[in-house]
Amino acid sequence: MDEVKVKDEQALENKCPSCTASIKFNPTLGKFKCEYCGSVFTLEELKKYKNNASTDEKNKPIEEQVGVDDYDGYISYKCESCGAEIVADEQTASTFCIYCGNTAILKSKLSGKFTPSRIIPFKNDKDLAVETFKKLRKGKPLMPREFTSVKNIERIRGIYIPFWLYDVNVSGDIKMKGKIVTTWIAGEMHYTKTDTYDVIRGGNMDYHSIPVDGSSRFDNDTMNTLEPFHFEELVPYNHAYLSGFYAEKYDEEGQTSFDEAGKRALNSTRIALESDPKRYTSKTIVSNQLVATQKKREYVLLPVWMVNVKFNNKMHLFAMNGQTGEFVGDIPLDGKRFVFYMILTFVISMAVISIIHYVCFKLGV
Amino acid sequence: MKKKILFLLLLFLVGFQVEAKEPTLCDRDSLPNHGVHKKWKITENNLDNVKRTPCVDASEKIYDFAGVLTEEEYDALKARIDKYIRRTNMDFVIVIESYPYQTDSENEDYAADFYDYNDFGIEFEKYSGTLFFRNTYEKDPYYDVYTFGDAQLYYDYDRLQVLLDGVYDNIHEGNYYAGFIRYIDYLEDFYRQGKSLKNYTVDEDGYLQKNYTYPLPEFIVFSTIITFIVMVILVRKNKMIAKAEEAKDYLDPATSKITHKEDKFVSTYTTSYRITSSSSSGGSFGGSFGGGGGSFHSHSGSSGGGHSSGGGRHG
Repeated sequence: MDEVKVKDEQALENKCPSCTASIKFNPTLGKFKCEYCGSVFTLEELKKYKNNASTDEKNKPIEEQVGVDDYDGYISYKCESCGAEIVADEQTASTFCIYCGNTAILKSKLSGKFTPSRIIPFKNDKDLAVETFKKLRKGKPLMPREFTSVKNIERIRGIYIPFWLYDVNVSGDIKMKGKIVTTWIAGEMHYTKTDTYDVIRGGNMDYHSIPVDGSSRFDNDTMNTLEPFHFEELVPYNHAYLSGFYAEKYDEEGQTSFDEAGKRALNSTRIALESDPKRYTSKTIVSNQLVATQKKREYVLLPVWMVNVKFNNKMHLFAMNGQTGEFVGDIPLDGKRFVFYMILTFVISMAVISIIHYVCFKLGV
Repeated sequence: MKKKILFLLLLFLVGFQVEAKEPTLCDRDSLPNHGVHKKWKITENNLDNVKRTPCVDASEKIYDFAGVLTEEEYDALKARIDKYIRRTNMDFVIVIESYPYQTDSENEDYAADFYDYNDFGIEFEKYSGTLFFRNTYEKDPYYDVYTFGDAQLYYDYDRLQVLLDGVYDNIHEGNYYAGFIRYIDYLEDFYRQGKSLKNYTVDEDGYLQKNYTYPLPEFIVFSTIITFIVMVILVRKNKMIAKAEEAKDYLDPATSKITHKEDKFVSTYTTSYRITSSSSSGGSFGGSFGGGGGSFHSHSGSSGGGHSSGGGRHG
């Protein structure tokens, strides 16, 4: 392996105010719990003890803090617990020390412009992700039988994914050709009358907090499928929430991210305006002058359990909404089961239609 | 001279006998079950029909109540008929009578009762046989062929049309012998061709029953489509990832509204077409004569079993 050039930084971790051991955020309690002495603390209580990671101190932007220009995108941190070196890439904001297992919050990654304004703390734990994965089989007959075996789970990570929440305003008009078709019969003649209208619908629609995944490492469609998140549970960001979890910083922003939110808002507005006039038999859009404008943008961290499954030497990625428990991912198809169900469906279909046909014949229908 | 007178007398007697052969009639009232030997039950509903129906000797086959055939013609025809019966194993009846009627169905009822309440077809399975009825009723001469039992499978409606048209000239012009010979020729020809109603059988009461046919190619196509739809649904169950295309969940209804509505009439046009009638008129067979609609479905007689007919011809 090539030598990796790294930058040196200091990693943060939460310390238990009672025993100074590492303390992690417990999703089911919604509080911080020390695994050694069993003490439980709220964020406010941790702050009182001036815990390293929980302080509200804002770091300077990362580009001002580090002056190294000769590195390959990896940065080394010193574990606060054991002093070992932790190497993480540019996007990693929170990781674990491979020697002592403590959470290493790479504070500089979430400082300055990378400081999230709010966060939804994890509300469910790893066990739920495992249980949900095991239940995936239900209602999916084409899934390989052994796929949901726990032994296939390579890794489960709770990750705070960087998201942009866009407030978008869409305004403008769409022009349509609307047709009203009426038919009637008079004597032996069948008549069809077609009235054509120029239809305009204009609107001004506001959308709040359309989420767009800010990390290029995660598939946007997967992250979209995890929606909805309940944004009313967003709380002000604090580094302490990252303890026990991985975290990423955004690497996608600007027009590309907004385009995704804008496109969704534009689509929804177009559909709403297009469906407004009900009396037309058919409508065709002839011009669309809707414009999406970004009203506000907020950088938040949202909780996601990433489940890596290795099955038949192939990796499959699943994700679970760390707030709602929504579990998503593409499940592989079992070839044999596919053929079996195809034949079974065909045979059942033939049998049913044959019986119906024969009964109808006998009843003279 | 005496010899000459005797010869003329003999000639007269012979001539008288040649002109007609009267059918042998029996008295139904004096016979058990009114002379009906078939399985039909005689009830109050059909008793009058039975009594009205001439009771004849079923072995004669030709019942010329109108006296249109000479004895020679009768004998020649009878020989031909016997041959036909041996060949086809189905009975054969010709009835010629002047029978006043108002509607064609009265001819059919008469003919069906004539066949059902006499011993025709009794030695053959399902009383199979044919009856040619020539009604010489002066006001509206008529003829038709009625089929019973398995004869319905050999002589279907289409074949009977060919047959009825084929003998029309002879029957219409009173060349009955030639007409009947031609009629037998047709029947034998059709019999040689085999059953024309291949998808039908005749039940114990003489009614046509459609056989069950299994539309395999259509069902394969249908089931393939169903299988495809089901498999697409099942595959989609494994695909949980979907691209988000809309944002309606994030719409703020309080501040969102449709600000402008405009519906401007531009043009109108009307198209029309004539509706073609789906019911076509049935059964006219050319200018010289008209005919009933007819059908290859079994008719129920006044009492007996089912039968079919060719629809008949006037003339």
